[in-house]
Amino acid sequence: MSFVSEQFLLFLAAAAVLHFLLPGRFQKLMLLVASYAFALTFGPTALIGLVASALFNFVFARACARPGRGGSIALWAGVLSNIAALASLKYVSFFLSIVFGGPTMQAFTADVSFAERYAPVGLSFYTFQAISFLIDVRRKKLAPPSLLDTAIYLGFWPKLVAGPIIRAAPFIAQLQRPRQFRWANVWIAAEWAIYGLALKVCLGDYLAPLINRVFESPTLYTPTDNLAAVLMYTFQIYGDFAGYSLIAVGVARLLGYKIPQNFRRPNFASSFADFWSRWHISLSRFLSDYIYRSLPYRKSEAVIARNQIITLTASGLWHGAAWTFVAWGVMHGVFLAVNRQITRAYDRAGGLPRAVERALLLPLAIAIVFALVAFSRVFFRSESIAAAWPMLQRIAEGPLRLGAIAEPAGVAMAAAIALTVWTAELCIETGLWSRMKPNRMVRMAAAIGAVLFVVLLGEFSGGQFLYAQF
Amino acid sequence: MRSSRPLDRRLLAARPFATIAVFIAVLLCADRALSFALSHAVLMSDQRVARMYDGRARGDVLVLGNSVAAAMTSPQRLNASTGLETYRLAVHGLDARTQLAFVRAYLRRNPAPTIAVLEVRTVSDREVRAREFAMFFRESPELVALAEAQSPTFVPWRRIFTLYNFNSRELPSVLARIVSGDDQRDPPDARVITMAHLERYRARDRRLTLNESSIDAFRETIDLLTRAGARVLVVSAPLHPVTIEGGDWIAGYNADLAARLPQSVTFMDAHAAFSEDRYFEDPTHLNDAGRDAFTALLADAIRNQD
Repeated sequence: MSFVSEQFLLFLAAAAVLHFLLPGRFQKLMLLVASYAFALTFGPTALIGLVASALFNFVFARACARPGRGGSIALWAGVLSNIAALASLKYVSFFLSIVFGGPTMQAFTADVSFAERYAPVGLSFYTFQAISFLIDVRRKKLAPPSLLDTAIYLGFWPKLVAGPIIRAAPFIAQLQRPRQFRWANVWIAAEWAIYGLALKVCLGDYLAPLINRVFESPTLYTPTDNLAAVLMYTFQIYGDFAGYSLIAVGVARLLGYKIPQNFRRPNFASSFADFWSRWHISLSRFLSDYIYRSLPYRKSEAVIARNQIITLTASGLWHGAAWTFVAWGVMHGVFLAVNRQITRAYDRAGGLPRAVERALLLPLAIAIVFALVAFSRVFFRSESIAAAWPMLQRIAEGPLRLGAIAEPAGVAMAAAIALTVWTAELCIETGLWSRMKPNRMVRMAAAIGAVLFVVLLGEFSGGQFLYAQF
Repeated sequence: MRSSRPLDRRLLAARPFATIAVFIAVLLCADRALSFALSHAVLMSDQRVARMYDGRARGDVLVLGNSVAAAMTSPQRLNASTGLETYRLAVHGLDARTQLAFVRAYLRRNPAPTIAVLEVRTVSDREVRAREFAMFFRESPELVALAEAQSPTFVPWRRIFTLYNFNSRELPSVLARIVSGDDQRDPPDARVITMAHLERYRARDRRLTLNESSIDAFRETIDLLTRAGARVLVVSAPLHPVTIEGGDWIAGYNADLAARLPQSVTFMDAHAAFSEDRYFEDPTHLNDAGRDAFTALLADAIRNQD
């Protein structure tokens, strides 16, 4: 069930009403029923995956909590089993292709594609949650929770499809008391859901057809069309994923639960470290806490760079079993490491005056990070690494002329939408919006504007969220 | 003070509902005001369908069809070679049933043409794309009926939000015509088919088959135009040879269609008229050179109609 559907509106209304009408002691049970019913709309495997993960991780969390070696063994067994489940359902063909190569791979194809086709929805997201859960239990950040709490934590329906990847301790703490209906939560939830919907259907889905056709056959389009598609893809994927995340966080808030935001205006990142603190924040934090910090460390720049590249490569692999994602991850790792060295050299040289930095360097840094992120996404979006080259070659061939755009009116409208979103975010980024101290009337007017934006320009036939496939 | 507390509480409890009511009222008012302004802006446009609904379409020759028909005709060059004013109503994505709704509106609001040129590709469409022209719903109940039959979920939403009628991929090009002027002029591009186009075409089977309800709509369109006094020329536009590499399926398609059309209609089968790459933008659309060359053939056919 897509968030952008009439069925979802009905499901949300029914789930919210029952959640608050039932006596407090039944609230958690209701939440689990709603979560599993929501999962079931994606097919029985989604439900089976969630139930199995809840049972397995509940048992292992108890074992992890035991002191001594037994607990450590249980932790390793639990973490490796979660990774094995993820790998067997999502990465099998990738690893087989590496080990055996083409011909042997073909013999496996039917079985492999069967397993991958039936991989439960949200598997990558709740598997990472399960891993962090077991580690946190072992680190005594939380006591092993009940089976019901474990099941809700893994299956909480607003974030089931594409995150955010939430942490067990703060979320399970919220499950310990019945949630009260609050109008304040309704307003916040409505605002976030409206802006999330606007990002999804006006930015993500409106741009999608213009971009897809160029990525499918880059050689049929002019260099300008190719460049426009690459730049617009950065906005499309942001609109799609940030839109989903905002709706998810809003729906959770409506039910009375606070889950963290997943994005913070990533198109304004002025360095790659800054980018990863703004883009898919819940995954970045997971990678930072459970992979980067677990890697062997020495106070050496080479080791830090190596660890950054390994962590970002893992991030690429998390997105899917393909060399394109590996290439994207490695690229970001390298960007991060090089960025660190440039910043260190700049700091050692003493830097420029603050005012010059803000006026010149900051916009330049934002533009460079944006361009490199857009470049890396050519690989992220392409079917294969070989398929990414024709697009880059076409752009390099030039000439880049505005008059050479195949569908100027459509591209102009897409650019206008992207610019509108960018300008609105610029107001927030520069603090202009908070300095205005918007009262309820101003916020209501902004929300009305966003609804009209959705009604007029929203693309409602797209449906599926890009990150649902991960 | 103490006695006023219950009243305060009631007011506080009432405030969320009042806020929601105000939100909805302002939202719907803004929606109506914006859609009113947009409907006027759309009719001001020089886009071909907007001009037709606004009663500003004039043509002795009326060209109908989808993007294939739009690409095959040059109104200016046809005017020059036949002396007849040409109006190109052919538009990307048009299907036979939506085309019928357009023709009804055209004949109601504009002078009937002397000759109508209908390209055959619309007869294969199974999908009705009236929804894409929802910005003209205010002008055409036929379009509304078609769109509502096609997408039932569209109905309640377009009644709640009238602005939703303008939610169309066509809107930018319609609004762009307010500033960029008459869309009967030819585009300035001169793109030529590439190897990539050919390979892409070969990778997919794109053979068309006749669709029964589209044939009915097509015949009804011909009937309407004939009754309005127009002579009808049905044209099968030139295709690149790559389209018939696996067999001349379009000849069969044309023959089947021609057999089901009234005797009074002239059928011009030009699908194999050109074989050189330089005439095509892609396997199914002529480019500027192709338009130029095809205009000469079409002008001859139109003169023969006289």
